Amino acid sequence: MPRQKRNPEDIGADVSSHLSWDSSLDHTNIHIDVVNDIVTLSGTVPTYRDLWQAEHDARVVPGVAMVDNRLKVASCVSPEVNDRQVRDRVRHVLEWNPAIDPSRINVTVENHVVTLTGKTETYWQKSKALSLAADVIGVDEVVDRLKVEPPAGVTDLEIIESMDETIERLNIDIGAVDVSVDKGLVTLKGTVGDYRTYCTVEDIAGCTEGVTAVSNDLRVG
Amino acid sequence: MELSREEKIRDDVNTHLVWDNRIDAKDIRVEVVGSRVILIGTVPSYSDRWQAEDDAYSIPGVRSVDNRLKVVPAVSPAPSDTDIRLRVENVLNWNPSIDSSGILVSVDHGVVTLYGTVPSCRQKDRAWDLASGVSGVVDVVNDLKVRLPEETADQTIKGDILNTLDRHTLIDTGRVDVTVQGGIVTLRGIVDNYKAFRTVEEIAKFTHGVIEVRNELVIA
Repeated sequence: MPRQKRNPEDIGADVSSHLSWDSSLDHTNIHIDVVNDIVTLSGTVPTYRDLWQAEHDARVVPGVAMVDNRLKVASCVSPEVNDRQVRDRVRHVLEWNPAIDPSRINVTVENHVVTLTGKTETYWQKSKALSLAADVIGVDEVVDRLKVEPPAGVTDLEIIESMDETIERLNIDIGAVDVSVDKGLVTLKGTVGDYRTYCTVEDIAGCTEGVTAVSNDLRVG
Repeated sequence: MELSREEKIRDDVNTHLVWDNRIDAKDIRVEVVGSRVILIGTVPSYSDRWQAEDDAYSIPGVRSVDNRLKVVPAVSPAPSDTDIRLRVENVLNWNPSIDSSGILVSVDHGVVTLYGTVPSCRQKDRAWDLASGVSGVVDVVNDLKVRLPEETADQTIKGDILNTLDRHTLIDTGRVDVTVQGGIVTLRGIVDNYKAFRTVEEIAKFTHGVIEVRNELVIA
């Protein structure tokens, strides 16, 4: 779908309104810069979840092609949570989720930075484990060292076919997206009409059997 | 003619559930009456139950989903009600986006009830979400009340929601009608698909000053 170019001032004003509208987000120390259709977020947010929520909020604004997220987490947790407590919490949260096999995931924490190492069966479980870890008080950052090891040998061709069928089943117009798969790694290239399609295509890749990683190089425009 | 359309929806929902590797769909049976999908059988977790419903809604032509799936937790040994309560309490206490100080949790045969108060509509939803993702849970009843730290005028809430809908990509706001009374938002009108249906509801729930959202939108 052809889109009108918007001027950077309008985009910036909309991103700013959208961040302050979102009642789940503390946006006080977020700084917004817009050059052409690229938004840069800098400054600090109180939680790691806010860091991603702010990016998501900026991306839904019309005219935004890309978001350069330079936000940093400046946590103000009181009482202070130490690394050992953070590790125990993250381990429990993973263990209590029915989708995760915690015996294959190792959790380490240093200076509030959580690192997950080990294996999952699906790409989706890996994403789930990372987002569960990110959503715990005291976590400033999550480092991903998880490897996806699908149980059965699904070929790259089967992955492409499964994705194509799913896109057709859902009747989504993905426009000029180029999907390539190499040993389970899905690479998405091209331009989509809006952020929603961007997310949908990424989700479809992430939920397809045999996928070990997703590299999303899509542009919105 | 009508029959083949129902069959197509049924096949598509079935294929979609099998494709989606987030869900264990082997014990789900799909029936279709008109544009209504009925999901019957069992799933191993409460989050699978909701994911299956979402998946059914994502198929073109589906207007409503009657979710009759029962949750039979696959974990053994099954956690006791006390275990489940402690897990839910901890998950809520450890989450940075929730003020859990006013939330109370009770569990009976795996059915979790959340009660007490939270400071926003968004947090009420999020609490339900978090409780839903705990293993051993078969159902979550959300009796939380929203007690706002400060009141916002209905007119301000309405303006805020409408502006946000406008800003949002790809929602045809011309057909969505928003009314607000005492912080309670009612959404009426027509949206194109289930994604838009959920997005509009979410936008209302994220807005400052909202106590409750009644979603009466119809999917075209």
